[in-house]
Amino acid sequence: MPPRSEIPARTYRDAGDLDEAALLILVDGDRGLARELAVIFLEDLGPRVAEITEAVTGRDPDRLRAGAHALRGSAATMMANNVSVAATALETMGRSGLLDGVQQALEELNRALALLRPRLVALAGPGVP
Amino acid sequence: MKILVAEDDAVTRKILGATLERLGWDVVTANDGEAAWQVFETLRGKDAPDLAVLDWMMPGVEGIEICRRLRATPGFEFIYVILVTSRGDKQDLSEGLAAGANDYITKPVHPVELEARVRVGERMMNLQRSLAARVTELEAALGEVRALQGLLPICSYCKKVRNEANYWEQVDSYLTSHSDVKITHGICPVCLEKMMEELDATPV
Repeated sequence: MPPRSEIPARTYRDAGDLDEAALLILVDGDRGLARELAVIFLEDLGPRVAEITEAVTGRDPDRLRAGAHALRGSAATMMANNVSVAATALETMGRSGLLDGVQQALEELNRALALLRPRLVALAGPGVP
Repeated sequence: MKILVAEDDAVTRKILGATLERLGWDVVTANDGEAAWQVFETLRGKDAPDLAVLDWMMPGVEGIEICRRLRATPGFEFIYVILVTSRGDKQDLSEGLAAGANDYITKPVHPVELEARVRVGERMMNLQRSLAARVTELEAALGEVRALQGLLPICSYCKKVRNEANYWEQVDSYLTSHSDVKITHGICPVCLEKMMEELDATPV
């Protein structure tokens, strides 16, 4: 299987990016709540990614662990599995202090986020920045 | 039942709060550990939460530290604590339970699992309240029993009892003043027969 970066633009909705069916089960079918969660997640996303990026740039394992942990939990709750997995990899690196390959792990996170964002914006509905 | 949800992640806090409210519980939320502790301090003795759902990793005071504080604080030591964690490490879970957590749940928190675990907590809290009420009743009853304990000096002839003030008083009067006993006066068959004989012997 080719690396994720070599896969052409998606023409299908991957549950790995956002498992909407699982999210709806989590909110007991309340689409309004699912929309609200998408809005909250998108609002928090910018500062969270900035924190992780700065930790990677500054090669700060503690900051990376904390920042990636926060995104990992949030993404897991949103059923954004690929983002959660990518954040887990960064959290593990921060926890161990072994930052070899951290740049590639950050790129993987950004790829997963690029696929997640439009899905969440669509879920959140009009009026979301 | 009042439940405190302490979670720094807004998405998880929202879903936990919404799920618990939908199930009919009264929910208070806190966005970090310090705010969670403030909720307990502010509502102490009045309307403090019976159960707390605490995120393990929060900035500042972590869930596990709140748990330790609760267990060490009179009045809060029996609050039912469920730790929320995205960790799956058995060592971590062992540390959480050793700190006094009653249970734990992992992210993403499934509503059915959350409800089941909170209902267990609710049953435990109800059982604890019922046991506490029973202990209070038993202590009160024991206090009454103790009032009649000890050495009671009684006259061998007239059967009067010597009270704490060193006065001799009738047994019925003594019992009435030292217990919840209520006395009705009657006559036993032996005394009745004796009294009838005396009456018969009395010249009209």
